[in-house]
Amino acid sequence: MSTAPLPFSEENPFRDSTSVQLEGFGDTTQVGAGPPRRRINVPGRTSAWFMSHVERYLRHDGPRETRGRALALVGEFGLGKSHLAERATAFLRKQTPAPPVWVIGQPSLDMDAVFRYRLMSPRDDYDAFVDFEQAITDYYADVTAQLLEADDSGRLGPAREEFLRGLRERRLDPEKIAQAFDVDEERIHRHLRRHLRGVTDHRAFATALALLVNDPYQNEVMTWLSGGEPSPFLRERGVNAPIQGIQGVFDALSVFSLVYGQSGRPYALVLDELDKTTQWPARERALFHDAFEMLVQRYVNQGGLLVFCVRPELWGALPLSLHERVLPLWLDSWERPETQKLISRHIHREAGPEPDGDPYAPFTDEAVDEIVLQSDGVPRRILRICSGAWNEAAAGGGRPAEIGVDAVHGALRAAHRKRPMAEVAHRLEHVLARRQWWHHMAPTPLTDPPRPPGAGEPRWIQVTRNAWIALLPVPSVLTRADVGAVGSFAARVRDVLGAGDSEVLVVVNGHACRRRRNEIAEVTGVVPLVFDDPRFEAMLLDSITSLIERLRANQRDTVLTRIWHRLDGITTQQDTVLGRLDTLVRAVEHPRLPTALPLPEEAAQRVPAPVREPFRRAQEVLDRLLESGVGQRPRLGAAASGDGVGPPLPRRATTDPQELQSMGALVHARRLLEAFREAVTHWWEGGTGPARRTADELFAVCRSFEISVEVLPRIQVPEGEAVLAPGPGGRAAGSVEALLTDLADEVLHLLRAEISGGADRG
Amino acid sequence: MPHTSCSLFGTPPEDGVAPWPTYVPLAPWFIHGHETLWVDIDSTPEALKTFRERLRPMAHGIRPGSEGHGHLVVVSGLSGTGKSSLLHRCVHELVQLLDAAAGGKQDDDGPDGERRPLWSRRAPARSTYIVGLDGSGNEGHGIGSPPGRTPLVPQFDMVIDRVLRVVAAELGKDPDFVSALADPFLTWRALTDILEALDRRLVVIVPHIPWNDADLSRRFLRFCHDRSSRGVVFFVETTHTGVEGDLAFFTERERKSITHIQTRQLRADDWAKYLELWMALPDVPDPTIAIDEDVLEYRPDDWALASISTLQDCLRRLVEEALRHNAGHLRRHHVATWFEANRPTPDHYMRNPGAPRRGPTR
Repeated sequence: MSTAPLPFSEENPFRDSTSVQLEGFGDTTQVGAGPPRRRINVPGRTSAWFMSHVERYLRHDGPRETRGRALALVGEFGLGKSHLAERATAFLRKQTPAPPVWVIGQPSLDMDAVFRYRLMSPRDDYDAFVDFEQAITDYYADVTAQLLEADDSGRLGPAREEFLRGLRERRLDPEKIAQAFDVDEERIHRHLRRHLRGVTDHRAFATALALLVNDPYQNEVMTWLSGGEPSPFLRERGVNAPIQGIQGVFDALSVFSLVYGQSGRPYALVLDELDKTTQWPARERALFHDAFEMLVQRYVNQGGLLVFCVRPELWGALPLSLHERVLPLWLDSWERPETQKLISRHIHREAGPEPDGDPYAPFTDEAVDEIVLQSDGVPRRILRICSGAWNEAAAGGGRPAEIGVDAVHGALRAAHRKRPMAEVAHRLEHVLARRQWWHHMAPTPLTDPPRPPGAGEPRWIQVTRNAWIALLPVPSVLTRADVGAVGSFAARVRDVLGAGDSEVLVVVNGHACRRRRNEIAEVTGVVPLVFDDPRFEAMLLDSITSLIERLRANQRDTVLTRIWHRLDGITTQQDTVLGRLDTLVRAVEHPRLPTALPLPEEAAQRVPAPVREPFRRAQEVLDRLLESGVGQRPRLGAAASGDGVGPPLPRRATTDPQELQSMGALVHARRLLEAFREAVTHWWEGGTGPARRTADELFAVCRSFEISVEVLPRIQVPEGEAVLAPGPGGRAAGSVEALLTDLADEVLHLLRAEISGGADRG
Repeated sequence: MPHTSCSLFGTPPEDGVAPWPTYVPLAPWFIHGHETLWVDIDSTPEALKTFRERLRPMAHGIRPGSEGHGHLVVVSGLSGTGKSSLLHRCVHELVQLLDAAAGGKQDDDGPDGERRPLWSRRAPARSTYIVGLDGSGNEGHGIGSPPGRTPLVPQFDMVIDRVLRVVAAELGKDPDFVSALADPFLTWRALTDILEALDRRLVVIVPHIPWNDADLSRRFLRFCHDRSSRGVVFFVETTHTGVEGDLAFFTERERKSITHIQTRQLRADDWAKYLELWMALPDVPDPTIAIDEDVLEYRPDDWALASISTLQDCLRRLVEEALRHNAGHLRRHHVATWFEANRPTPDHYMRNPGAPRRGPTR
C-alpha cells in the first residue's frame, strides 16, 4: 500500500484496517466523540452457513449431550477467518443472558500469561460466577441425596422421598439441608471430592471445586481458578501449584467447560490463529495440539461451542481424530457479486441503510471486474486495491468522479513496485552466485531478444553445453499485453536455442494475480516467481534446480529416442522369427503327414531296465509266431497237371477261418504287448517328482493287460513250436495266453521289487 | 398425677442462674452437679462401658516421666447426639481415676472439705491439668484460622502451633516459649518435662475441626496420637462418622493406646428417660410447671430423635408457651401438636434463586 500521507485520506472509505483482532473481553463502550465506524459484513455463503451454525447452537432444544459442536474456519490469509470469528464472538456477547465466551486471540507459548491476564475468568462476570457455583452445588446436591438415601435414621421425617427428589431435581439447597439435619459434612465433602475427581479427571480441580461449596474457601478457590497462587489452605489440601503451562490452562478450560456444561447454558471458546503453533518447538506444539484435541472433545461432549481459525495447511496436518469431531467450514475466494457488494457497502457505509442493487460508482464496471481478477477474490486484497485506486483517482483531491481500470492498475503498480529492478538483479546475483550459476552473458546465437517493457536484463544459466535457463525479471504483470510480451521473449529464446534446450523463468517484481500467473506459465512452460514473496530465495533455488533437472532430462531424451528406435527394429525382427517358429511348432505338434514309427531299439531303450528282458523275449516269441503264421504256409505255383503234357494249372491257396482268427488274435496280442510296454514305460517315466509312481498304479496296468489277454480268442500254435518253452516261473507254457499272463506277473513282480528296494530313487 | 417442678430445659451454667442455655454440653469436670443431669440414653452406656473398660486398667500407667504412658480418646458422632457431653463425662471420670492413681484422698468437694453448692465451678483436679482448646462449646471459634479471618478455615500448621501455645500457657509458660524452640518435638518434650517436674498429668480436649480433607484429618489424629505419651491424654471430638476408617491407618500396636467411642441417634424411649430425670431434679430455679404422666408415654417421630437439641427446643418452647398462657400443665396434645407442626418440609430448604439474570435462561 502507498505509505504517502494524503491530505484527503479521511474521505477514502476503504481506509480501515483490513485485519481483525479478537478481544478477550467484551466491551461496547464507545471511545471518542465520533460515531464508531460501522463494521461491514458481506453475507457470503460460508458466512451465512457459519452464523446459522452459531444460531442453531444457541437455540438448541434437544438434550444437552447433543448440543456441543466444534467449528473450524479453514482458509488462507485474508479470506476473513478472523472477521467471521469476531462476528460470532460479538453475536454471542450480544445475547441475553450473555453466555460465557472465552477468546484466545492468538495462542502463545506463555499460556500462563494468556490465562491470567487475557482470558475471561469466572470473576469477571458475576452471572457467570453464579452459574459456576450453581453447577458445583448441583454436584453437592447429588452427593447429599446419595448419603441421605443411605441413611436409615429417619431424620428427614415422613417427607423423605420428597427431600431426595428435591435435591436430585436441584430445587433444594443441599447446604441448608446438611446443616439442618446434621448430616456428616466431612463425609459429604469426601464423597463430593471423589465424585468431582471422576467428573473432572483432575485431582487438584476436584479438590478446589469441592471446597468451593464451603463459603470460607470460596475466595481462595476463585483466586486459584483465575490463575493466582494457591493459598496455604489449598496447598495443604493438594492444590499446590497455580494453573500454569499449556496443559494446565487447557485443563482449566475443560473444567470450566464441564461446569458450565452442567448448568445447561451455552458457552463458547473462540481461538484465532491456531497456525501460530506451527512455529513453536516440537514439544510445545505437540503438547498444545494434544491438549487442544482433548478440549475439542470436551466441548463437543459437554455442550459447548468451540470455534477456531486455521489455514488449510495445518488443518490437513491435524490428527484424524480431530477431523472426526470438527465441522470444517472452508472459506472461498469471492466472485463478482460479493466483491461488488463489499465495495458498495464501503462507499455507502455512512449513508444509513444499504442502498439496493449495490451501486458501486465511482468504480466503473470494468474496474470492478479488474478488481475481482487482480485480487484473486481475497477480500483483504480487494479492500487494499480499492483504497489504492481511490487515492489514485482522487489525485486532484476530493471525491473521485470515476475510478477505471487504469486507476486500479495504477494502484497495483504503486502498491507493488516497492523495489527497483536493480535490486532484483542484485538479489538474483546473490542467490545464483552462491551456487556458481551466475552467468550474465547471453548465449552467442541469441542477440538481444525482445524484452517486455520495463523488464530487467535477463540472466542466463548454462546447464549443459547447449542448454540454457533464462531468468527474466519483469514488473507487475497486469494485462494480457504484458503476458504477450513475455510470450514473445520466450518464443524467441526457443527459436534460437531449441525448445528442448531452453527454459524461461519469469521473476515478477510487482503484482501478478492468479490468472496472469497461469497465463505466463502457459506461454513459458514455467510458473513465474513473485519477487515480494518472503520465500522468494528458497523458491528460486528450488525452481532452478528442477529446471536444470528438466533440461538434463531433455538431453537424455534424445539418446533414449535413438535407443528406442533401434530396439523397435530388433523387436520387429524378433516378432517375425517368433511367428515362424510358432508355425513350425504347430506343424510339429499337429502333423499332417504320418510320422515315422519309433524305432524298435528306441522304444526298447525306454523300457525300464529290470523288465527289458522279459518284454524282449515276449516280443520275440510273438514276432516269430507271426513270421511263421498259423496253419500251412501257403504255397503258390503251378499245380501238377496230372498228365504232364498240358500247360501248368494255377493253384489256389486256401486257409481255414480258425487259422485266420488265430492269426488275427496274434496281431492283436502283439499290439496289446506294445500297449502294455508303452503303459509300463509311461508309468516308469512319470514317476519322478512329486507324483511318485505307486505300486497300485502298476498293478492296475498289469491287471489291465492280463484281463485283455484273457479275452483273446484262442491261438492255435503249430505243434512242436519250440518258441513256447516253459517260462522262468516254471509253469507249463504252451500257449500265447500263458506266455503273456506270465509276462504280466513277471513285470509286476520285478518292478515292485525295484520300487520297494530302491525307494529313494527318483 | 405426678406433679413436679420443671425448669427451662437446658444446661445449668456456672452460677445456675436461669434461663439455662440450650445446646451446651454437660461438663462435670468443670461444673459441680452436671454429673447429676446425665441421662443414660441409647448408645451412651455402651460407650461409657467401653471407655471404662479400656481406661481403668491403664490409669496407673498414665503418668508423667519417661516411663509414663498417654492415651488418645476419639469421640465421634453426628452433632446433636450427645457427643460432647459424653466426652466431658469421660474426662471427668478419667480425672477422678488419675487423682486416685496419684494417691491422696478422694473428695469431690475441694481441698477445704467444704460442700460446694450446685452449679459452681469445681476445684481444679489435683493430679491433672485439663486444657480445653475451645471452652466448653463446640464451635471451633477459629482455631487454626489466620488472624482476622472470621470463617473457620483450619490450617494444619497453625492448629498444631496453637495447641502447643495453649498448653504452654496452661503450664504457666509464656506462649512465646513455643516459638523459641523451632523443633516441635523439642517443644513438646520441654512441655512434658515441666509436667514431670510438677508431677501432673495433662488432658487436652480438641473440638471438632472441619478439615475437609481426609489426609489432613489423618495427619491431625497422628499428631494427637504421637503427643499422647508421658502422662498426656488427648480427647478428640469429631462429627466425622467415618473416623474409624481414618484410625485404620494406625498399627495394631498403636491402636492399644487409642480408644474410639461413638454416639448414635436417640431412641423413642429416650424421651421418657430424659423427662423422668428432669422431673425428679432438685434445685431447679423457677418458674416451674407440671408435666402430665401421658407426656412420658409419648413417642416422638424418628426425625425428632436425630438431635437432642430438637427435644430441648420442643420442651423449651412448650413450657414458655404454657407459662405465657398461665397454664400450669404440659399436656400430651401440646407435645403432639408441636411435633406435628415442626415436622421438616422441603419448602423450608429451597435453593437461592441465584444471581438476578439479565434475561431468561434458555
